[in-house]
Amino acid sequence: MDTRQQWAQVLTAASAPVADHGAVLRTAMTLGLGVAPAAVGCSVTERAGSGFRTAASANDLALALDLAQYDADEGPCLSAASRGRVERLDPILPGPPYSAFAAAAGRHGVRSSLSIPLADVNRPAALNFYAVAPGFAAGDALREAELLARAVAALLRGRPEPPRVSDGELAEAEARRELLERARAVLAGSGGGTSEEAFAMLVRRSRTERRSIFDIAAEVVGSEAGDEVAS
Amino acid sequence: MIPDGQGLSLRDGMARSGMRFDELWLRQLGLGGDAGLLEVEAYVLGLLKTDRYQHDLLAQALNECFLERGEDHPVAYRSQPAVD
Repeated sequence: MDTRQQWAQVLTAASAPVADHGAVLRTAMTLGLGVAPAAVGCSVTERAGSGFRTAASANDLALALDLAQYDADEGPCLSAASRGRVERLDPILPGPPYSAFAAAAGRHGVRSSLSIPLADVNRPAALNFYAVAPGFAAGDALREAELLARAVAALLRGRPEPPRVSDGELAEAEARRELLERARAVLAGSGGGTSEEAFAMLVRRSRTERRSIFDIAAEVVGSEAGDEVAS
Repeated sequence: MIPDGQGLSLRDGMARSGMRFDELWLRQLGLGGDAGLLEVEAYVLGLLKTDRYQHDLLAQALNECFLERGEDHPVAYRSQPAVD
């Protein structure tokens, strides 16, 4: 499975989560290793009783760094999970606030870490990234890491992330969708083409006439209704 | 009309629009799209492969936003079949 296929698997599962998500979580951990060349570890930390545990990890390195934090009862993954705040150590410096973790990271050649809290999950949890270079979690890498965190959260939560839109906005979008569907049906029916070809026709008119596709769709539907009345 | 394949990428169009991904998801829903919220973001970031239809649906969703601002379809489309 290439990287895009892995993303497809994880995001499809995040859109319709199932109870047995172990295999998909493992794929997500593999994707975590790929967010940046410097990434060498990825794991999910979640609350377990009075402590924490690693629900999934890409490799023994990530697990070892998680365990170092659990043993010390402090660390960026615990803090991110408990406080719901991103914890970025970039670079990881010796000493407080996470001395044990810093020491363990140093022994493994890990120089930076990023822990992203997972929103609306059943137990406090975080997605962790460990890297051998500072500054790895920025730009595209950070965007990918954040998207992966949201997907993992959906898997653990057992339901997809709800879009932040109002009922009114959703109703309007559904009304527009219905209008487009009717226009596509009219064009496909009259031209003998597919619905996708009809969409392409509407797009082409939008571009050549420099108008909203919905205005054009309304004309198509209205014209069809007029023809029906006339006949 | 900007020729097929020319113009902004989905990613650059998204950055220029200033939209949130929730809004883009809503706009593609209104156009008949079925992608989930996270999938829409992944398409724009290039993490998921789009076919021509999916790409042009997202391009139109972005361009509808630009049309509302008086701009003319700055986001590129993939090649489309000839229309009589």
